Amino acid sequence: MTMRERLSALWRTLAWSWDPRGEREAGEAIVRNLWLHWFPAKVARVSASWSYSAWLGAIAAILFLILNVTGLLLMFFYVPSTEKAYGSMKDLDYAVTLGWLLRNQHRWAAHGMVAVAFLHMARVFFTGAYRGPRALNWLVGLALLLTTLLCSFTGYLLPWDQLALWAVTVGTNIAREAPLAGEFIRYVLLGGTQIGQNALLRFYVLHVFFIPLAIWALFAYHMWRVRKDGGLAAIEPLRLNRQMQPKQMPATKSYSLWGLARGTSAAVRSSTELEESDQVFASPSVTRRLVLVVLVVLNVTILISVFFNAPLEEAANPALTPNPAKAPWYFLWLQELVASTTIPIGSIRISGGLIGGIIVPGVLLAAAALWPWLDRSSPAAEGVWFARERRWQNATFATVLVLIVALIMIGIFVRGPYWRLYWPGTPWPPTPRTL
Amino acid sequence: MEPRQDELERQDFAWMVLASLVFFILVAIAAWRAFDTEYGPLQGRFRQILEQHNQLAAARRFRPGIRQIWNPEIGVVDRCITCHLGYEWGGQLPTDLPQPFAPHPPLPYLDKHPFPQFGCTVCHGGQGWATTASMAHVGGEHWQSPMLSDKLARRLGLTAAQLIQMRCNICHRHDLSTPGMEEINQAKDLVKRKKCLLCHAIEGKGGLVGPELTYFGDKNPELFDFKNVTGAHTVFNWSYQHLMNPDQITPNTTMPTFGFEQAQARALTLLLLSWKRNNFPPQYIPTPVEIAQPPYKLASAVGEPPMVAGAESGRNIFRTRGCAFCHTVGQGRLLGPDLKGVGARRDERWMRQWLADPASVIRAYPEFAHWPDEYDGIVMPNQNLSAEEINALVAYLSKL
Amino acid sequence: MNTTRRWVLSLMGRGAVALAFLIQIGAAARAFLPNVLYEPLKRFKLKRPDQYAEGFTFDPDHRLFVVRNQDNFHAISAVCTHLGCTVQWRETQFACPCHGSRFRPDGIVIGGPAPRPLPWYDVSLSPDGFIEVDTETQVERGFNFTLPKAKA
Repeated sequence: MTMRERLSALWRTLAWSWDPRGEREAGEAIVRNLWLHWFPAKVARVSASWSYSAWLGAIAAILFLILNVTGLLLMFFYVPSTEKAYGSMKDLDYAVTLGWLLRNQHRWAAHGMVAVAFLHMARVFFTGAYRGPRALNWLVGLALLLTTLLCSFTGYLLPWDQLALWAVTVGTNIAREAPLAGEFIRYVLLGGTQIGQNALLRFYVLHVFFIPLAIWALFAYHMWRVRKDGGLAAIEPLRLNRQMQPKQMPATKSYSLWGLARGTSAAVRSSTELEESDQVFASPSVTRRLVLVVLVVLNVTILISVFFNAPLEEAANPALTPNPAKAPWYFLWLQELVASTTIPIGSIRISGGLIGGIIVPGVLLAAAALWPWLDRSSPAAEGVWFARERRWQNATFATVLVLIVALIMIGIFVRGPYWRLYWPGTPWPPTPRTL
Repeated sequence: MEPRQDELERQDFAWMVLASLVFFILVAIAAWRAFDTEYGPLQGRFRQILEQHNQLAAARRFRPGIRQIWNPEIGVVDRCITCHLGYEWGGQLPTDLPQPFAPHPPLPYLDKHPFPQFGCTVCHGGQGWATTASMAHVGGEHWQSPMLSDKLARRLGLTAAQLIQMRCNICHRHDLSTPGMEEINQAKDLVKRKKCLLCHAIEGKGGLVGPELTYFGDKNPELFDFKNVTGAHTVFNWSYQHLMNPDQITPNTTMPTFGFEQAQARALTLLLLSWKRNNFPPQYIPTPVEIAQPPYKLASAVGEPPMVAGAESGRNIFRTRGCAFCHTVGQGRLLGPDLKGVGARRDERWMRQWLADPASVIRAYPEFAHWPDEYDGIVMPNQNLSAEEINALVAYLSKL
Repeated sequence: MNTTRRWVLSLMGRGAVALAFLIQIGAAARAFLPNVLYEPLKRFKLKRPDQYAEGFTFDPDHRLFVVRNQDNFHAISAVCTHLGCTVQWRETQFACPCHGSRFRPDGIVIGGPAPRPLPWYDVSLSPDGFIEVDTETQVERGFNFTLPKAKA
């Protein structure tokens, strides 16, 4: 063979999975590839469409991957000591080549992941994709949401600037309002009664190891459940309308996590129950689209990182509270509630921290967790956007979502010094300075 | 390639190519932004300046990159010298070089504040970590300690040299008066004359009528009431206006109006703002000048011993073996007597015995037994001189 | 889109991504080469010449001896060439407390396990008149920096 042919053959052996020739290769590309074998050999066309899922789950996962890579690199430069942390942040901005980009990417990807996780949850709700066997995955998704928020919160403290210190002060004081165990929870979280070196070190270890580990584990389970459930809920309407006879599934050959889940083998269901015309080969159709999504997410992250710097305020000063002191944006709605739900009953004042900080989000979380079992709509409402049958549920969810977003907006744009309302256009009183 | 049977939109492919190109462009932009530094061209220019002024060795040795002065003892990380490359070239490069290349002005007290120990921001303020001019000088919205520039000083009605005294006094607070700090010296004098301590406690002494002022410079700006202050809401303005007219800034106050001139009120404001905590180790805090003067002359204050023709080696020994630290020649007594005219007072034999073993002379001759009493109880220690050294010294001393 | 154009575009796309990743890997590698070091400088200023007495002055922070002979200065490393302990000046020789190496005043080994003489470092005057030692430039034994006449 000539050199060109040899190179071509070598390239073929490396790249055949991503560019399969023929149906046989397309199937094998998935099944024989460690990275790709999560996909079924064939996927319903609608599952991979933009209009169904907007690929939000994938975007959240990609952002998490970016966070892992940038985070690992940042670990070579950041020092989790109250004396050195701030200086190491300044060094990242000025003394490390491309340190600024690393830091900005990490910050914006983190905010992005929290936002996209919320949007993904909204999409799943609006398409009624949490029903039936998918209820367990809905709970796993809720757990992922909470761990994502916790990861972002623990990371928020690490720069050890005024923004970090006081945002975490507000956040941990909300946690303290939990009845009975609140004070203790705060004490364990901080490793003390105040936010100091112990808190910084604990938050650091949680942020770089334990919580990402938990997210990876939950993510793996989340994806496994998707396969176990037969794929995205978008296939359910197709199954209702199918003309093919469903194949009898053997009850065996099922992997489960500690035997908690039962059912049939994974990949078999959807591909034998759907029309051929409804399906595409995962490789290359879905894999190519995945690469596209990765590129677009990377592009957006880098674009924002190049033009917008991650904030870094003055060095943390426990003696000086900034005015106003705000929680991270994803907790601002909680802070709004906490600030306005202190209720006097007779001579007792029930703290807003309890009502707005623990009870309200607790109720929302419980409602979200129980929803799959409260939902009484028919299977026809599954896997479609804004199914008419579920319109009251969708309206409820949308209302809560809009309220939360509105509270966040108010917290960001309208609240000013002393937590007074400064409507857009009203300037804040100038911050006093020394010189 | 064979046609795909179930391909998703072909548009995916086009978008992917586009996204790839955009990705490459963005990465290129980021890389360009990282490597196109503000200080790069400046450093190249400085190397040229070195060459133009014949500093070829230094120009050859010049290595581009971020430079910093790091002193963990006082928490200094100053990267100003990345651009301000001429700072240590005073005397060798012209002082009128354009900034940022101009050498540091040759101040008389610069030696007491060597650059490697103090850095730059201790005196000048600013954000030492930064490697761009705007972030180093002003530091952005969240940096509370801007560089004390001419522009900032003018805004406050001062010169930069006056404004910097505010930072000098953070360490020099306990000096009664310090050369080079005229405004602060004047303010300290005012504090004494106007008897501020009657009403205000400072460092544990004083009255309780007004607030304690020990660390006034550390007070949170938000704790001041700016209701009646004109102009910017700064502690400087508040203090200045309060000193000029206390009743206007804090109505119904007990503090009298002292009728200060504007310059006096500004000086006092500098003093007040200089009262800040610092955690410098003791070796960085100056011993107050008034207390530090020893009541006796030091050898460094006197000049070199005189030349004597033909007695070069003896004079050298006198300088380098320590004689000059205790004996002058014609400049008065230090520890031991002035040796002017010793050649006439003592003969060579006496000198040889004394230089070989001074204590033996004291013991042997009763007329010298009172000498230790006259010289603070000290007998000249045996210098362990060799025979040649004694010869050379005698040759020198006998000519004095 | 015909095959050839598709192939070219595909190559462009993949090429762009590959190049971008190479740049990123290069940038990440570059990020790990520190631009600033929190270490004592290798070339540093000491005291002014007239603050040095005749003879051997030990500088513990920089682990070297500044030797003055009237207007001549040189600098000898105080790091034992055996295994790196700091040698002591004992009247007439350097002695290493760790394994007993001994060196003449000019650094030549006269006893003990040290394999090489103590190196001499370049001495010069900084632009603002301080004795400056460059531990990255070794000079020959016998090298001397003489103060310019104006300083003497």
